[in-house]
Amino acid sequence: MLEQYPTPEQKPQLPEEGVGLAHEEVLDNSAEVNRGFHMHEREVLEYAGSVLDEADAENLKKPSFKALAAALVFCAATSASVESSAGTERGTLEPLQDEQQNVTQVVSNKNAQNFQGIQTPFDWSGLALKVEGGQQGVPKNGFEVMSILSLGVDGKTLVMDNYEPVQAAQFYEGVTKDAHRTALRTLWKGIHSAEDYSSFKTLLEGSPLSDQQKLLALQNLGGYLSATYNYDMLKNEEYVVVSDDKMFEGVKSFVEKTKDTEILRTGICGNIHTFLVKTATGLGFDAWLQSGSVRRSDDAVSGHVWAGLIAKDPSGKEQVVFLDYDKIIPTGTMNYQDALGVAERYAEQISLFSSYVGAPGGGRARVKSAAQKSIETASGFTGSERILEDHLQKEIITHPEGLGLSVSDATTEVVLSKDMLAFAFTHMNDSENNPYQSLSNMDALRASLNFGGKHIGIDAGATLLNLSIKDVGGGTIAQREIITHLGADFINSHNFTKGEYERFVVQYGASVEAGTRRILGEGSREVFGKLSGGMLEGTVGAKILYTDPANTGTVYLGVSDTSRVQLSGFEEQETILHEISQKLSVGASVNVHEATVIGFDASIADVEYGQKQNLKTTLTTSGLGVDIEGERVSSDMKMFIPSSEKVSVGVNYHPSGSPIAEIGVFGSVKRDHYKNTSDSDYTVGVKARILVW
Amino acid sequence: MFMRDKLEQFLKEHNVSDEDVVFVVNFFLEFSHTVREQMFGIIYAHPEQLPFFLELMKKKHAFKREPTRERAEEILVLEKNMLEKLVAETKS
Repeated sequence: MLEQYPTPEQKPQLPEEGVGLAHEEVLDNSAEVNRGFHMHEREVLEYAGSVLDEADAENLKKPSFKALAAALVFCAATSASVESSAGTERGTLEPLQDEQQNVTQVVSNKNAQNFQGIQTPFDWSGLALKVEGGQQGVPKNGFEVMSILSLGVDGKTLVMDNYEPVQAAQFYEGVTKDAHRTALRTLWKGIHSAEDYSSFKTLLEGSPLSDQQKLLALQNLGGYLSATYNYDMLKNEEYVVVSDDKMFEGVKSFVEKTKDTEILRTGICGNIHTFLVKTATGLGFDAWLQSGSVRRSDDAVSGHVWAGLIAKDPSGKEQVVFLDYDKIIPTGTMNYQDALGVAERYAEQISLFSSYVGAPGGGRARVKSAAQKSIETASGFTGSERILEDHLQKEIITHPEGLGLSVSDATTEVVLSKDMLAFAFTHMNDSENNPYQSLSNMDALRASLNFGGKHIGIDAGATLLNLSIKDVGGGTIAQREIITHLGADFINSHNFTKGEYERFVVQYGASVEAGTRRILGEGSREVFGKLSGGMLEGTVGAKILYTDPANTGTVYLGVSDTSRVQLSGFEEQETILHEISQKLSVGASVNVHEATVIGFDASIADVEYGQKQNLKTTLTTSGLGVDIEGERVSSDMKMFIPSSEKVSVGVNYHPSGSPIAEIGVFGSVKRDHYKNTSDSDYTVGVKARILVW
Repeated sequence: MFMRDKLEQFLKEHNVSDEDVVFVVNFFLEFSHTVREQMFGIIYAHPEQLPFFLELMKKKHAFKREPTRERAEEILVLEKNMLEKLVAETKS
């Protein structure tokens, strides 16, 4: 108790500093001083914690109790910096390595229950690990500390009370201290007892742990693994697969570390989270790997791989939970696009061009958040397959000209194009404060240059973006970046006549779309920022058309193949060319009346995540165009990319006379079917284009 | 840097010297961004404790650089006195 704590007159019995000691002895002495300090500090903190612990719920709402809680947590948190060294790739702190430290109980589980009405998105278990952890590996209940903090900042600060999805505490509601200890002791005993990964997994999988206990064990395993991070591998860019046994040896070396032993270095983020996913899968979780971009502590951007899994909260509701070393990021949703939005808010960075999902040792499929889609569209990325199809349909390479305006949902786009030059301005604002949209605001100014001819075209452009990225605290982070876009297109055709009037046309072509992302930092010495990612994909295709002798209609058959350059896996990370789509399309257009043409287009494509079918009907008559399109996606990866049905309708009107103009309305209804949830999306908008010159 | 801006602005608004502002920012940089924000949340909510927080950070920084008995004792006494005072306020 504090009253018994030594006053300055009764100084704690810290070891005397040696005078004239050998260097090693001095170091040992420092370690003793450190140990003594933390031991005595725990006594001080425990006393203050016991006051909070014994207080009832009403008292805890009083400013005096909040002030005490704030001071208590600050004391503990600042000691974390003293006691541990800043560590992992993205700035999380390494778990403490001091041996045989006992767990410090700041506030017991009883009062954690009192705090539960005040929720915070923060995963305080991570900090608790740093503050209280130790060789026992028992970072006691993180939510207790978390609750104290939320009490301290309630109503006045950056508390994220408007952020529903992230409530890490939810997962540990109802977990008793004993249950928590059981989970962590099971993990610990498993690591100690097992000789290799196989026996560790068997021991862990055979333990009767609840889902929450398993998640706690995984979090702590992630914490231990972060201490084995292999910085040499990162520095030397040796991205290789690390065996499960070697990973386990690393964990064991950390857990059993003594003064005379060293921690064995394992791998980097991809290796560590691969190991976590394998362990999670063994524990019965649906688990996978996810890559993306994260903002590091020094504000730089780096690629990262973390784990994802499906976990039930105490109410039994399933949701996507990301596991980033020893942090859990509950997303509150089973909609994976939405979950990625939450991950981006946590990472404080948009994973443009870098967001892939997959299983350990398996392939990777690209997945996108809503923010990534918005940025890609604003930067002129439409997909090489679509670009090639457009050119083949028109039989020449063209670019729209004039002044265009498009307004839909939260996005407004203005495009001005003349001859070789085009400018576009896109504004997006998340006025509804959608918690799953990681962008609060986006202004994008794109300039592009088109040159070439009817058969060869180059489209080179750059987009300057001002982004306002949401964090998990209701705040935003301003970021400027430049995204370059390069499109290279080639098409050609040969005419074959049969008989006097019949006409066969063989068209073929290729489109390549490439992009780079450069983030402009305030302190960057590079004028165009630091290269932070890129993409490259290409499509080759051919089409054969037949026009009948009376010229009343045309039918066609087309094939295309699209590939993308990407990394081979989450561990080895070699650059490979990955085929993402094989498409077969058929269609016809019929002149049904003077100046009235009806067109039908149907396609079926094997895509990287399943199959896509598309059916489109168009009606063009004097001044009026109507198109109705239906698309059906059958996904083999419904957890991440939904099966869906989408119906789109567009009506365009071209008034006769001058200036040449086009106005239209468009709308779509889309229903997504994820593995365990379905969502509907409606889009309605208007657009106008006018050729003023 | 969003948090640095907010933190610097907050500290300046509370008359923290330029030198100390730099110190606090650097001290916070030793933490992950999440923990930094959480610590800032505490300071922001309790500006009345700012002098204590500042002194505590300085003492812990010094102790981290050179862990001596004297520095440990200074921290422990500082924490003990502050927490005792706050505990007394909860009882008043």
